[in-house]
Amino acid sequence: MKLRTLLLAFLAGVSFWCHAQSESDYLISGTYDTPVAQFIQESQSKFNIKVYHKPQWFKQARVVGDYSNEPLLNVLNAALAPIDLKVFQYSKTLFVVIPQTAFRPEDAARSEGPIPLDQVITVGSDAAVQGDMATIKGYVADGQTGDPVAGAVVYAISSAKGTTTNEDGYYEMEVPIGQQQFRFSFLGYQNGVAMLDIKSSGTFNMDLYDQVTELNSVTVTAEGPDENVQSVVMGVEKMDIQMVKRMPVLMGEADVVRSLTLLPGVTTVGEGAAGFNVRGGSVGENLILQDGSELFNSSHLFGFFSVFNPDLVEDLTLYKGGGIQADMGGRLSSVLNVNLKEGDKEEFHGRGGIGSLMGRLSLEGPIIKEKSSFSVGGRISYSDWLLKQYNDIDLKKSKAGFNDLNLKISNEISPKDNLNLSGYLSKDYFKLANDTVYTYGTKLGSIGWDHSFSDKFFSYTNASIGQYYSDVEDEEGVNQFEMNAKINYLSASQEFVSNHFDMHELKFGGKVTKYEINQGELRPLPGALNTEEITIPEQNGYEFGFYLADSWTVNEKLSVNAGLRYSMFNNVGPEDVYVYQDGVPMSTGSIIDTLSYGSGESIQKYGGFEPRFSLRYALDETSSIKVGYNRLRQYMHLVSNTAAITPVDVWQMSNSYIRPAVSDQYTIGYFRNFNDNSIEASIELYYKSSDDILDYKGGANLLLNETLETDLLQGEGRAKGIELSLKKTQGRTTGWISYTYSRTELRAISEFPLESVNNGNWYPANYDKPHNLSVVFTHQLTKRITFNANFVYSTGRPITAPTSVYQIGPYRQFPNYSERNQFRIPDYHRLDVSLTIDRGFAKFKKIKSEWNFSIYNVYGRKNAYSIYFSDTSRAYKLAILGFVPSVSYNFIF
Amino acid sequence: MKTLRTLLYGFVLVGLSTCVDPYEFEFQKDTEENFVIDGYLSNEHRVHQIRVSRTTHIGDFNGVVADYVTNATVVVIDDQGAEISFEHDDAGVYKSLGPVQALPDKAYKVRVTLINGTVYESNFQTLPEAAPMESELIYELGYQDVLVNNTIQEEQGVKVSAVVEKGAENQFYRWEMNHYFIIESDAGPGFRNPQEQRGLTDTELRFCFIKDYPPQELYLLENISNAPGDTYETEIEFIPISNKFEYVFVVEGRQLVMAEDAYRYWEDIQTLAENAGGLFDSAPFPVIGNITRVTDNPDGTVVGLGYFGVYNASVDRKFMTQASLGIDEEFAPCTVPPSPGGEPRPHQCQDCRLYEFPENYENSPPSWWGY
Repeated sequence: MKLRTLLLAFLAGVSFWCHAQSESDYLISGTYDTPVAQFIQESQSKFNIKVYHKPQWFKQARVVGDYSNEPLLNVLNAALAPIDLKVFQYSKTLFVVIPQTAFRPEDAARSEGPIPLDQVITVGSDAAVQGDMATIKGYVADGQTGDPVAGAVVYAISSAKGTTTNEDGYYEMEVPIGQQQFRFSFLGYQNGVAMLDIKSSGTFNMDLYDQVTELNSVTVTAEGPDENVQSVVMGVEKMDIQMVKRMPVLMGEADVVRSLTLLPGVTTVGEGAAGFNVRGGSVGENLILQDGSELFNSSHLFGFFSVFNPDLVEDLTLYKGGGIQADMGGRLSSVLNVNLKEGDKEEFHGRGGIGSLMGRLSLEGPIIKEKSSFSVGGRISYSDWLLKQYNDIDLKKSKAGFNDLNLKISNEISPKDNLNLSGYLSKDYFKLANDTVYTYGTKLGSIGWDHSFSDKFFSYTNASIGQYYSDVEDEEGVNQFEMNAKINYLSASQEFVSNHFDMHELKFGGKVTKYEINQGELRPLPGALNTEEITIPEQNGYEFGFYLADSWTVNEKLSVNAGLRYSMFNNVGPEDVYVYQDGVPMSTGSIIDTLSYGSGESIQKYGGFEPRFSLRYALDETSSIKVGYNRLRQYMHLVSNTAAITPVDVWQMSNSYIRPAVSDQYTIGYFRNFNDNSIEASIELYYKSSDDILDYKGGANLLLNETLETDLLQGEGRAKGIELSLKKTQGRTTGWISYTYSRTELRAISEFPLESVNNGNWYPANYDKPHNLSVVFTHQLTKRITFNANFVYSTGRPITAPTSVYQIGPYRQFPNYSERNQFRIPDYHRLDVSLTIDRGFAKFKKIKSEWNFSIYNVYGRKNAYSIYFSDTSRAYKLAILGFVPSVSYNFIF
Repeated sequence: MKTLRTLLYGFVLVGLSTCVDPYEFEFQKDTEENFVIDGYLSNEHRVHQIRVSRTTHIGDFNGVVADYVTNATVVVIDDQGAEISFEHDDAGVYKSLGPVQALPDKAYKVRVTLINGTVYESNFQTLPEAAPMESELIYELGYQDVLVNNTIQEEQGVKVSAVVEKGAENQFYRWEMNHYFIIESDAGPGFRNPQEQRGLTDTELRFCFIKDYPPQELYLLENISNAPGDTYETEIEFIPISNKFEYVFVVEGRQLVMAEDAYRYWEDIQTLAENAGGLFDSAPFPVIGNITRVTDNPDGTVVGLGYFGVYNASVDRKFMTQASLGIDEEFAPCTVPPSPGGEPRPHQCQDCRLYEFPENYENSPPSWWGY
């Protein structure tokens, strides 16, 4: 007991010391008559802090005054008060500018008990004033249980005085007479903040409540409440990781990627499918970044889970089509940017969870206190039992699972320099019966250096190295082999941000990436009798991108975001390139020559400008109209002829025969907020046309094909859609309804008619699902219990179905497939519910636990996973994942 | 990649609440019919056959009847203009008028002239070089895992393999497998073995020679040319022990060596046959063989279905008995069920001539089956 008390006191003491030190550093002296935005930038640079804000919020507000060691908070709040804003200190170095009237998400978290910040509480009385100091005493208790909180820190902010509560939760301290803000804090509880007007000595008691909102919800707090109206760019979706965790889960694991598919314009081809489709784009048209490193596979266990460990995710942003600005490129449809959390630089923490199929554990803490930190976490699956449930002899004897590990080290090397190191390892494996073993995985490493030249000029440098690999090994029979395929890449990027010009934020920089693709090497194993060694020549290429972008606030109503990107690609040797005979379809039989290129010798170059433009015109304070256009180029192509991607699908770079894909997207939207920004409504329309997107010929052989170009076609695509969204962002009930109507069609014409797909006519893409409806509902029943429900509806995906049957020899009948994707499986809909019980930190215990009870597909609808046809071409509907209950347990310490 | 697909597919099934239901699919009604020409000529001197049929509209198809073309003119033409005529026999199958064979120095194509004058032809095919080894089957008693009441158990059976020799070039094989056996009507006449009933006609029989239904699988192999001269065994099929093994069981394997184009055609057919339409299956596609419509087809875009091949063929047969397999199984006798009333009708257990198989040779087995 004493040890625990000592530890608590130690922690509390450290905490007190840290806060006291930090806040006394942020003192303002001098005479000011400076725009608020400029003042913030100067302060950020001076104190090495981060103040989340949007310059356009401040309009013409200025910091005016003559200060002498005045706390930064006071100075800023004085300047922001006239425009109904205030600044909130979230942590030692993190400040958030928020509206006076919409303090979220803490509003929701405190609605049952905490004192409103605006309320000034009088302590003592004027009649009892003696001198200029007073003694404040009282109790700090758990707001739910009434139990005293020992070791809580009580801190008077402006006077920088503090103390801690004793074992009975009692505190007593001497503070100056006058109005000042008090903060009451203890590990695992939300800070209790009260504005006290101290007239004389007196008593003030504070109840603390469990910390429901965790640090990694900072994404939400960093935005203004009217971000969707005020931001210039459309098609940018940010998801709160806490929201992701509370959503109903499949088999006990929160999933970042699956949650994305509830957003307007984001779909998936089906349950259990890896990846996602954005505004008429294939899975391979999404650039997925984790701490700046590129991921070529975003899923584990064939698509059941995403590669992102939800405990380690700081924030995730999806840039849909038109939302991709000039600083990003390389894919036609979207960029998913996932940033991982930095470790706590002050205290050690851990968190983890156990679900039906996997367990996870992560730790974070300081390496050098206040200077550097680490964050490490891993997951491991125990999913073999699942395969044993299946009534198939091979699957019963099979194994499947995965593990992954993230590491992030953050280091403040000087007040103007931050260095981050990030690493990621993942491995999936599955063994079919007793012979074939598949493994695939990702290895990533990145280093990022943020430097501040001045308060107006910043530099962001990043270097990444990565590999995605897939191996197959067959250890039985006469065809024993091992096959290895991989993609290596190495990239470096440099970005500069300048705020030298009022109302402008200039960004410029560049990125170069070297790709090496090895589509496969097949080698016979020692026992092989009938396996031929096959080596697909390695492909090498360099992708470059240079850009200049300006975010310009023209006036209160008009803002423009314009940029120009120039991208180029150089496919280089060493490589032998086949030359095909003109006038006949390309095939191995039509090769007439081979051109050899030496190492580094350029084989084929492509390049072009990619203009990006967005404009926002504010109709009034709560509504705006936005338009956008952008052009995107893609040089790396995912080649797949299955509806859902598989781990062994190959990537192909642009070369002499494969041209880069190019798309143009036009968007227009109307955005309006209601009810003091607590309800957000929007309507967005887009049209996208694409050229040279990769398609495949009927019966294409895409694996270990040295002449892959002979099985491919390059066609065009057209996609259009309308996205409607209605969100409620505040209060105990939150959620959204989104509806998307969209169409995506492709056309692949060959100069040889028999090679054209569907006779050269437009046909729906695999992922063309015109109607999509998502309803996400979250209701906080009590402080600790949250109810969630999701409903999804979508049109069935297109399939290729037989139009007739025929008989071959004495064998069974065979279906005759004519045209691609001319039929659809039935429509899909599903309701999921979950209950999250947050048990909070038990008093004096350092573990906070959370249970999630989920039911996937509550009404057990037999949604069609596929329609297949028997020998007699009788149609059957296969349904998977009916009513699936699951339980997961999560903990934080 | 079939194995990968199986596992991917299986994993998502997970047995949690998987179910399969018949589905009333709204098939396209306005599909044009197409013609299917399927057959081959080999270097075996025997009667060859070519089947001509139409595609059957899938909405009308009940899984029973294929739409056979019985009134076409079918000829195989060599590159010097000589014709081999075929006549309709049964169910769209046209048979050569006598034993014919493909010769190594000639090319052949099939020409089918429909009653309305429409002509379909294949391209010319030549006889591929013979494999280093003629068809050779081997067999052994073995076991395979099966699921019984959701638990894994071992099942006894015969593993049949083909012996293949490496050549200087890659070779492409397909095997046509057939099974033959002797069936016994345990309640029939009291003959002790087939020899005792030899020569009997128009009387009940206890032992009949049977050709079983052919396996519904395609057995394909691309024989890689590495290490010429080496031989190896490739497993063809596993036949569970049943009462068909009570006396004599014959496995016949016809080894067809073909050109790569023909092999790729059969490979595509096999791929489609395994396609379950799932997320991890490759998109289905029309399998185009080497049949083209000759008339009213100026740009050559109208193609027929099927394939006409010229193959190098050889046959091996293995006769198995319980003694040769080293087993001594007793099988439950065939019993006549009680008649509900009236005059009992003849039953298979009393007269094996009543068994319906693709071929019931009764007392006259094929010439190669000496007894």
